[in-house]
Amino acid sequence: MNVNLKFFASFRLLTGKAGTELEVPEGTTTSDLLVMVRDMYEGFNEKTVLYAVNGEYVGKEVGLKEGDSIAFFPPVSGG
Amino acid sequence: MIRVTREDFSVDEVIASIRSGGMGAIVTFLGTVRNKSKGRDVDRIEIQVYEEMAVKQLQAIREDAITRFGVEDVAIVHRYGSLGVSDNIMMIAVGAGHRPEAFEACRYVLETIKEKVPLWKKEFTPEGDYWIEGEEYERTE
Repeated sequence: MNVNLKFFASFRLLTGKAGTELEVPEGTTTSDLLVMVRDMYEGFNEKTVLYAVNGEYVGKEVGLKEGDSIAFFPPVSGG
Repeated sequence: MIRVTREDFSVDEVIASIRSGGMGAIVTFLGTVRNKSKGRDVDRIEIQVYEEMAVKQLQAIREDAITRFGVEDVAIVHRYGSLGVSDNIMMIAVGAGHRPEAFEACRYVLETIKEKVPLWKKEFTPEGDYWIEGEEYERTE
């Protein structure tokens, strides 16, 4: 199945892109995806990254579905 | 009112969006661009946003504050894009029957935004450009 990755702030610099589509096995969880993305981009620290699925913060063992959007970003700094 | 916008906003309009007869207090917070940060001069900033998620988060924070503190209404406006020194960044307005809950809710909304809402500041200084990540800095070049 395919999922959409989005990157924000310094993660765009790290990955060189704002987003990309990725094919992952059925049954992939958020923690599986964190490891996959870490292995794709040097300097990506899966322990400190914040992530959201379809615009919601979720836990590490959430199963992903075809077409999900997963955003990866550093700690926020609005306000 | 929940708004994430590139455009500037009117403080009066934000207050007017929540004002009602049940309120005896409206507490506001206005965040603006400071010309110094961690000892560096700041020429301007850019704010990046994950807009769909930011709007959802702001709506949830508004509803949470109304329930948690029993205030009448909450308005939140946050800008993104390129902003100069002294420009408006964000505004919170909280209307309540009495001032204690209005102050408490306003502070709660502000701190929760700083913790959860996907917005990031990049500061442009004579020494270079820096992403602000939580309380840390990440040099961009």
